[in-house]
Amino acid sequence: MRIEKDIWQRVHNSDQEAYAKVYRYYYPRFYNYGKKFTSDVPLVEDATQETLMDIWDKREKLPAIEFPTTYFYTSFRYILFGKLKLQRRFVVGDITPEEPEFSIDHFIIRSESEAALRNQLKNALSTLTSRQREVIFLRFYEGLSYEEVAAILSITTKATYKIMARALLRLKGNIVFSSGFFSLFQLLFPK
Amino acid sequence: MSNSSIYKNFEEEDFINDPWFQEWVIHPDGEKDNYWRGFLLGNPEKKVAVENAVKMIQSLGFKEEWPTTDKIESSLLQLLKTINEPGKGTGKTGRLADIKRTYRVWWAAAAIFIVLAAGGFIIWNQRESARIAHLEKEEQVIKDIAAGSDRAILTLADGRTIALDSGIKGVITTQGNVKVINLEGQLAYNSISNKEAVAGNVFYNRITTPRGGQYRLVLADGTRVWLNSASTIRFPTRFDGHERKIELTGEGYFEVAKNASMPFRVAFAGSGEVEVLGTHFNINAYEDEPSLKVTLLEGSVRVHSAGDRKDLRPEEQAVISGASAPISVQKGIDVDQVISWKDDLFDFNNDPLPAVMRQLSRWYDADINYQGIIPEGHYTGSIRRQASLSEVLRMLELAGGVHFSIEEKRIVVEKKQR
Repeated sequence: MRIEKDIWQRVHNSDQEAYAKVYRYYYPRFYNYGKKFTSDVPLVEDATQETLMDIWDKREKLPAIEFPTTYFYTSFRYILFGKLKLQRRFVVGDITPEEPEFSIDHFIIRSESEAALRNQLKNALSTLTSRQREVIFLRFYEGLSYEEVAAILSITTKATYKIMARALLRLKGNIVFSSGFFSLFQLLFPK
Repeated sequence: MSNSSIYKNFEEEDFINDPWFQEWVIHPDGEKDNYWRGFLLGNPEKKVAVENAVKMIQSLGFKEEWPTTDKIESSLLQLLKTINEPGKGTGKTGRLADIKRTYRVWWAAAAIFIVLAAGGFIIWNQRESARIAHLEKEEQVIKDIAAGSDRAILTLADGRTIALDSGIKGVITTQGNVKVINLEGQLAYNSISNKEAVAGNVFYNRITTPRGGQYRLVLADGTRVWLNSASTIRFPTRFDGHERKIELTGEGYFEVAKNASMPFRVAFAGSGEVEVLGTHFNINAYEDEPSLKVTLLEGSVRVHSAGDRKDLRPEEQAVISGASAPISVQKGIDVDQVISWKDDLFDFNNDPLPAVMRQLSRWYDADINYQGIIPEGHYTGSIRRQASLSEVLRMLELAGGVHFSIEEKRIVVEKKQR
């Protein structure tokens, strides 16, 4: 589901009803995205609200923004990461890495295969980098295009293709490796 | 539009990686369906590859964590109010960033007001910030019933009680040589130093989750426990002697730290007991469930009940259907479904309505009231536990055969007339 095209024009014209629609559409999406990086609910809520306030504050410039969805996802990510970094400065002895981690806990394996095989896929997922997980999330869950994913992560489209291809290959490689002679798909989808 | 001649030479992994193919799986529509149907008609040998590639992409799911509708609406309402109050604060009109600082204060004040209006139910003595965090959740009860949350009551050895929720952070008490630390909905017992711990006294603590609450716990030996709603666990602040013994009522999932010289024993429902060395398992021992269930995910456990005993292997479940009934063992259990609650999901698998309703009752702290006959349908599917009660009921209604209404803290269930 995508938001209607003329909605941005209406927000630009200070149409509050249109803004409310945008708000209701993006709030849960940003929140859901943000929760992948931290379990700190107030922080995610703050970042979500700040991003959405920005849409209203910047409504005059909206027509100049070619891809508003991408623009605001990027903006949300920037605000969220900024808040996470700020927060980390005040935690003594924190050894978490510089970039916020896209948590492995948020993957769900939806295949109908046996639990043992699902565990295998889960293990394979844990070998992915945070960035690979995020690319999979934005592409397959949010349904964004490679170009949009690239813009959000501030990398080239080509690099995005590479990250994704490596992630998928890794999932295959891990599973085939750990089982020996079955192919990935026999393992994932027996019968 | 991609040229089908390229796809003729594609293998599964090529399909998985192809953006246009992915687009079909992610955003299917009639046009794309037609294209791929046509491709498969012309290239039937690619059917398995295409099918598997679709499955691979579809099997990568993500846990969804939505904010409640009330949360979105109240924050939107506040913003709109500010937009429409020109001249506030700095004198500029509708500059939203200005209200950011005042927003939380307003929200807390509103929450307190509504709770007082609801009849001052505050009985827990906790820090102000934690209280507000808690009240924000309670406020939603008025229109709908909000999802359960991380909260529980800790009873110390001397009888003192401490209300726990994710708002309380840090060391909350020290008993003997053991520090009790609360963080993000999880309580941990840490010995101050290993040497002293050996000499210190053992205290028994108890954690009780109310209906609508859940909590996590790390015991002194490193064993992790997830406690579902309406459940109680009693345990020592540290483990001493030749065994590690705890008691459970309700439902808990355990990841027991390995220690072969100190078996871990969970006593449940009076005479039942699970004996383990180090393993992952779930115990469902609610009094209102027709049977008690012990499900093993990893390792091995021995289940004792009323003189009977059975050893379980992974993916087996011990079912005890009465105080003096023998233990029956089911094989090939979908263990992910059994522990879905710990991953914040309801996962129903051909469950009759009363079984579904018992779970909702415990998580949303609501009683169930059947009007007339109990609808006989079975339900399959998963719903995130963060959903509000009305959202969950709407989904169940969509499955058909039943109509729900929420009255105060009660769910009224009626069979739907055709």
